[in-house]
Amino acid sequence: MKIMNCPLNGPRNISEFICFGEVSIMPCPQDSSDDEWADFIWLSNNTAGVVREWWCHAATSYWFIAERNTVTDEILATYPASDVFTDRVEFKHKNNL
Amino acid sequence: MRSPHYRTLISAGARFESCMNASCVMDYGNGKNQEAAQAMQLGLADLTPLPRTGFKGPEMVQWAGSAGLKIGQHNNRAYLQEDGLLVARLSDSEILVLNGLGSRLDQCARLEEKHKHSRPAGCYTVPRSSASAWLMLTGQYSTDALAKLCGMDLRVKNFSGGAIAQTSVARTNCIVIRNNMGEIPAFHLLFDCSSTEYMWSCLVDAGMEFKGAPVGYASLLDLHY
Repeated sequence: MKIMNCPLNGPRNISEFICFGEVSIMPCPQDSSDDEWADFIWLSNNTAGVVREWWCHAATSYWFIAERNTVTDEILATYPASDVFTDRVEFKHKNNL
Repeated sequence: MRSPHYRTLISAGARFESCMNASCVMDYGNGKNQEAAQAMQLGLADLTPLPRTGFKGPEMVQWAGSAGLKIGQHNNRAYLQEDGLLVARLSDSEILVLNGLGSRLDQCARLEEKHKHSRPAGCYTVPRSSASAWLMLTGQYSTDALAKLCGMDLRVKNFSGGAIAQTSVARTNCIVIRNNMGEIPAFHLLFDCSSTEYMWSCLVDAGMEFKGAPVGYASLLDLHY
């Protein structure tokens, strides 16, 4: 059985978790080009090595970040998303829309 | 209010009584002593009609303190209040509140109403009564029966009174709270109400090996006091 450590709930069977892909920094919605935005939405880096990924503990709907080696499938660390994202992002409408 | 799988309960011989505007299974017609003995061995009770609620949000902890709820700093711990309410701290921003066993008052509704206007925008109610089913597994074999359905070690040495596990039980997301009744092991199980019939049948099936059977609310009250 593969075990993952949830920052909220502790060690659990990997079947209780869902991976939601790599963590990437969102470009500024007001200032980014269409290409930059499309890259953020649709394209992934698919790195062979250590990556940061979004994971969710399904039983609690708790989202957190894991560092995982995609070559060995070894989970190196897990921590709350608040360790990385400290500020709330506010979305504003473009004036010309 | 009644349990989503009341037909299953009726076929098992349930006798219902009105309790806080809800239809609650009081017993299964087996006699008081026999049902109490069953609950001490391995009993499964449906408490879904009884009141429960939840509060969530970044300002939940501050509000809970101002509302008089005494909760500790540790997540995944349940804190028994002086009036019998059981407050389960699920995370830094969420609590689940179970009505006290034996209380004749809807303490959860009172809690929601009493502090309704003082509740900040960063603390909102979670409609647990309509969203979550509530079963209780009691008795000396309850840990063994749960072990057949849940991968976590719920034995008392690793999962003591007041401990909470938010995990998978019979492949269903479930909140497991150990709330022993004196020396008798007991677990609250809360999960999505749409899975009530499935979870009930899984627990009954798992308990057959240990001669488990459904018990009514009355037998829990006998053990509780």
